[in-house]
This record gives sequence, C-alpha cells and structure tokens, in this order.
Amino acid sequence: VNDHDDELLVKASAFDRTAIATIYETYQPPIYRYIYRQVGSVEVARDLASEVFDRFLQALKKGTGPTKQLKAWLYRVGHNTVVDYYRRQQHRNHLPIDDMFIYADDNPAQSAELNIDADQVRLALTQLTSEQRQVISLKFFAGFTNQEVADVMEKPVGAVKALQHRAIAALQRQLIPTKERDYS
Amino acid sequence: MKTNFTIVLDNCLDRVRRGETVTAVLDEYPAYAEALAPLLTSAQFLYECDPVVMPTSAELAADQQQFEDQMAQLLPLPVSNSPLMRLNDWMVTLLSWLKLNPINMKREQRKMGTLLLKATLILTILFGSVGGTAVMAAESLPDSPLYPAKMIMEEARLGLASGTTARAVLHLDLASERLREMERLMVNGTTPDGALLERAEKHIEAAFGLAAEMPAQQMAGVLVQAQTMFQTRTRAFTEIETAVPASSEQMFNQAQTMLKNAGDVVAAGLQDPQLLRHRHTTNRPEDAPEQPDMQPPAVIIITPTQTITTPVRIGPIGPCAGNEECDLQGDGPYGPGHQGPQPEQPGAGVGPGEANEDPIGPPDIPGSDHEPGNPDSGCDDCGNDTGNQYGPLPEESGNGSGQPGGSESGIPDGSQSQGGTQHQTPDDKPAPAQPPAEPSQPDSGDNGSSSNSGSGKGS
Repeated sequence: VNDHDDELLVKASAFDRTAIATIYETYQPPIYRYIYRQVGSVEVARDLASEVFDRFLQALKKGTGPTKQLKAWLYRVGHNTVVDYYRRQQHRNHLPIDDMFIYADDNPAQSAELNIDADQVRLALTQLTSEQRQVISLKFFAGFTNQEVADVMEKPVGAVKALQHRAIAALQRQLIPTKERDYS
Repeated sequence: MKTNFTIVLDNCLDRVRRGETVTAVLDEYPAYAEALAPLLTSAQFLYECDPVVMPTSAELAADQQQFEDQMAQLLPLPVSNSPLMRLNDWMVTLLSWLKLNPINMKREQRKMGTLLLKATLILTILFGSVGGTAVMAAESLPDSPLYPAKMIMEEARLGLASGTTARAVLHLDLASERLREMERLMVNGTTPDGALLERAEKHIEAAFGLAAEMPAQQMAGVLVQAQTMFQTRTRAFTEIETAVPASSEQMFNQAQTMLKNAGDVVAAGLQDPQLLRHRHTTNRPEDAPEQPDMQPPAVIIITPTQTITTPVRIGPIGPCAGNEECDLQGDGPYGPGHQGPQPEQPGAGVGPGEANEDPIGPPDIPGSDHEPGNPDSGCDDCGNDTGNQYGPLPEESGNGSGQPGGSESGIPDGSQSQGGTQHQTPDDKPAPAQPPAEPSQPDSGDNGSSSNSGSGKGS
C-alpha cells in the first residue's frame, strides 16, 4: 500500500489528475468515517472531509504536499480539521461543550439509546486532550495499527502506547460513571 | 511495571478489537484484571457504540464532483510523461522566450536540465558530428531522440530568415512539416501529441500575420503558396484516412478542420486583402493617420410627410458627410477606401462575431475598432480626413470588433463566422437589405466552473 501510495504521490505532485482522483476515491470514505465518528453529523463530516481534500489540493499547488506516507498525512489533516471545527463551534456559540451535540439526531433509524451513547462517547472525547482524542480516534475509529498511529502523530510507537493508556483511562473516567449500571 | 501494563493493555485492546469478549481477555491476565476491566469496557464501547451513517450516493457524487471542480480550478494541466516530448517543449520554450517558465518547471516530476545535458552528450557521442545529426534529425519524428535537434535547427532557420516574405514562407514550410509528422505518426499507429497540431497552427498564424503586413502583391504570393500547401496536406490526410487508428481519429479530425479553416482564411484573403489585414495585423502602421475624434452620429428624422428625392447617406461621421462630391474610393497605401455604408446594409462590416475573443477593440462598441481613413485615400476636396478605409462607419450596427467569430486558436471557425461573409469589398454593389446584426457580446470567459472552498453544504 505504501509503495502504491508513494507512486500516486509522485504523480499527484506532477498534477496527474488521474492519480489525484484515485487518491480521493481511495481515502475519502475512510476519512469521512473517521471524521463522522468524532462529529456525529453527516453534513459536518462531509464538509470536513471535503476540507481535508481541499487542503490536499492546496498543498499540491504550493508544492508543500506530502512526499511520503500519504495516509498519515491525510489523517493528520483530518484530525486538525476536527479540532478546528470544535474550536470554531465553541467560539461561535459560546456554549458549554454539552450543548454542542444538538445535531446528533441525523440517524433517527437507530435506537434512542444507541444515539445517546454515541453522543456521550463524543462528549467524553471532547474532554480529552487533542493528542488523546487523536490516538483514540485513529486506533478505535479508523482501525490503525500502533505503527500507523505513530506515523500520523509523528511519535515513537512506545509513546503511542503510553498515550493510548492515558487516553483510555481518561475516557473511562468520563464514561463509566454514567455506564456503571450497564457494566457493573 | 507501568510499562508492562501499557503493553498488556495494548495486547488486550487488540484482542477486543478482533472480537474477543472482555471476560475472556481478562481471564488471560488475572494479575491485571482489576485495572484492565474498566479500560477494556470503555474500549469495547468505543468499537460498538457508533455505526457510521454514510452519505447517500448522490451526496457522494456531489462531493466528488466538487473535488474535481476544485482540482480543475486549482491545478494546472500536467506536463507530458514522455521525457522526449518534454524535451521538445523545453527546446521550443528555450528558443522562443529564452527564459524558463517556473510554473512549467514546477510541474515536472524530474527536472529537465540533466536530461537536456544527457541528450546533448548522447547525440554528440552517437553521431559524432553536427552535420550527421542534422541530416538524420531532419527526418525524425516527435518520438525520436533526434527530434529536439530538429526543433533547434528549425528555430535557427527562423532566426536566420531575413525578410517578411522569406519568414512567412518558412513558417508555412514548418507548418507543413508538423502536419506531415502527424500523418507519419498516425500511419505508424502512434497518436500524435496535441502540441504538434498546436505548433502547426502557430506557424500558420505567424505566416498569416506576416502576410498581412505585406503589400498586396507579395501577400497574394504568400497566400497562394499557403493555399497550395493546405490543399496538398488536405489531400495527404484524405489518403491516409483509412490507415488512421481509432485512437488518432480525434486528432485527425482536428487537423482536417484546422486545414479547412486555414484554407477559408486564405481564400477570403485572396479575395479581399483588407480582410486578412483586419484579422491578422496586430500592429498599426507607423504612417497611419491619427485616430479621428468620434462624434455622435447626427439623427435623421424622417416624417411620413417628407419625400426623399435624393439618396440618403447614413454615416455622417464619414469623411464626406453631407458632401455629395466627395469620392471615397481612395487607393492609398493601405488599400482602397471604403465607401460609406448604405442604409440597407446594417452590419456591413466584417460581421458580427460570436464568442469573439479577439483582443482588438471592445466588442460592444460598434465600429470602434475600425482604423481611420488614410488621407491619401480620397476626400481631399472636402478637407475632412476622417475617411474610413477599413470598414463601415461607427454608427453601423455591425460588430465593432470587425472580426468574425473565431475559435480560440485564432483560426476562424466556420461555424461561428457567418457574419464574416457580409463583408463588402469596395467594389461591391449595395447589398439587399438584411436584418440588423446583433452586436456581439464580450465573451464572459469560462468561469462557470468555480466552486466553493469545500464548506458550506448546509452545515
């Protein structure tokens, strides 16, 4: 995959439109899923995923695009767009974090309990640090290996494992009090 | 101890992710079970709690379309993948501008400087002498390593050619050579690069531009040569039509269309040299008279009770407005003067142009582009030097740009230049009344594909 990505990147850097389209078709769905699980809204996830690929095009145009590890680059940008999104939301609405999930009703087919749980997870995630949220999202939402997470975060694998430990512990502190009746 | 726990937790998380139950995993690590249990429970919840809702297929298609629009808007076209074709482009670029375009350099995956040097060295080693290389390069095709040398020689010939006629004829020869190369490539089963046809067009345009600056007799000589060349190449294209592979059909058709259009330009130029000058002269002659101040046309109101006993000449801005003795049929150095347009000839200029991108004059100002008449062309008696030799007077409703609707390449497109046939030569008789031609609208450009920057889809 990496060799194929590197080949695509070389072509994309030369503005080969077929290669750029292939990159989009390959990575848009997983990037969308990765973002959706953090924001819980189809529209917002579509917008943010589009923003990721817009930044990719801008970087290609300026010659500052990735030269290797395309996947890691795209997920890194994806994480940054989510962080920026939450920052904008907080700034725009002047609302406490709990009130930010008013859009989580775009999946009415799911059971009410499931929706609430998903919201609680996202709410709990927002209480984590940016790096903790990133490692959780990559590992559990995007299904990355430790090495892949390390590539995205540009950290050693050992540091990723330690960060994962702290992130899960912090998440557990956020979630378990409300879930004790389910798992006790 | 903490490090060990971190590793154990990581192993346990992987097992939970693969579908094992938390209980089963904890059984493997009884020493850590108490600490692991809440963490694995939270992790399992992360895996299971949130199914992703995907956009509809229409939304996905819209997103992809938006991305492709942005790509088209942001990124320039890529360069050819073939190093030889890129080398050719570089040769032409170097010799044409004597400077490199940084955008072109940026678009290349591998820089051409090294390749250029290598090509020179290889050619020198292989062929030993410039003469040998030149002879072999002369017959080379774009897919040959010797083709860049051919380009260099051609540019050198153009640089050395002295005299307008010699340069025009050389441009025609080079255009013919490009078309011949296309024919040979297509017969060989190779699809010619679009740049080849573009170069042929540029040579033809250059020849027309030079011809437009010549005296009428020399211009006619060049145009006849051009006509012969176009006919020869058209015949050659017709002969190879059956041998052209399907992949080259589009290029084949484009070349034939280009030849036909160029032939039309030549035919029109032979019939009316002024037309060719109008279309292809970019520089105003140095000895051309000053542009006259444009005055608004006098309004002639004819009441139903009036009887017109003498012909009414519309065009008071002309050199002899109201002067019946004036002879507008001048024959100065820029061609014969144009008689004032007749009332029943609206749009009697070169004609309205559709999608006219010609930069000569704003298209929405009728007649604004016409050159002033030459004082030598007549009208000495009336002392008015605003004679119009190049086209109808400004108040005519014809297209002020005076150019036929043309293709972007500059070769008039027959399908768009219907107005061009309305041009009246000085010897023409007054034409029957025709409906007023619509002034052409300025081309709005192809800016309809702009898209937003990616956000704002209703979020």
